[in-house]
Amino acid sequence: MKLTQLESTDRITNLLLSGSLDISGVKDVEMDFARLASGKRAVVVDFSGVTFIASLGMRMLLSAAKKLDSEGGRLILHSVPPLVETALETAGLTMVLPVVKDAPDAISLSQLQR
Amino acid sequence: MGNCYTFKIKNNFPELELLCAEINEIARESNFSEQLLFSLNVCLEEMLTNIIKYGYDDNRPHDIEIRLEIDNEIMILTIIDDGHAFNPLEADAPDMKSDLQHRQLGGIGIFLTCKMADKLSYERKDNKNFLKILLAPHVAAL
Repeated sequence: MKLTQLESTDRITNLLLSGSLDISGVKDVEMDFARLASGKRAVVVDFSGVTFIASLGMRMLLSAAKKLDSEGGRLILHSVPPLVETALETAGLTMVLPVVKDAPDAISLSQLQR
Repeated sequence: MGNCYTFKIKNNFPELELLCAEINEIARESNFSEQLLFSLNVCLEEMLTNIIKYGYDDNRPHDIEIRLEIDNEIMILTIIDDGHAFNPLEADAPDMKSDLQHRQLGGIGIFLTCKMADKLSYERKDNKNFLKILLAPHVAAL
């Protein structure tokens, strides 16, 4: 599991996650993810390379989203592969965590007033 | 007839990670769809994590037995543990309605497993929990 920080601005942090968010995958990235997903900013995560997620990975996303929300920021996922998106939907996470089609949609959403 | 594999792990996460890797290797060779592999991994991770975290009333090591039967289009995963009686089919429904700050994920793992498996059955016998999970995307529930 790999977490990469892409070119970012002072208002948007762009991250790329790739690999399987299983038990060992979450262990690999959770500390860095929690550190990067903070502050009064939009944290936009490219999920295109994520092949698996279960409740442990969802916990990591939910706790980052809660923290960002309380700090005036937000977490946005984009380019989520179908099987991963279905799992997020089944767990009811897409109701509290924005999942959009691609990077441009994520940028537009991040610019909207909350 | 298909193949049957039996594994035994102790109730700890390093052994669970190794088990998942080993089972994935076997499942990949069987040419199942990505969807079925995804569901298998959800079932494995969620049900075994539950047993390891909440299944026991002491701090001693315990054996957990995992059987995997593979036949053309179906997979049957059986998990046997000697923890206290727990029927996941009777677990409380998870919170799907609260807003972001109030959302909790308790019970989500069991809920996901029930949604992704084609059939789950539970039995308590000889002081053990037997959880049987059928994954068969193209076969009507048995």
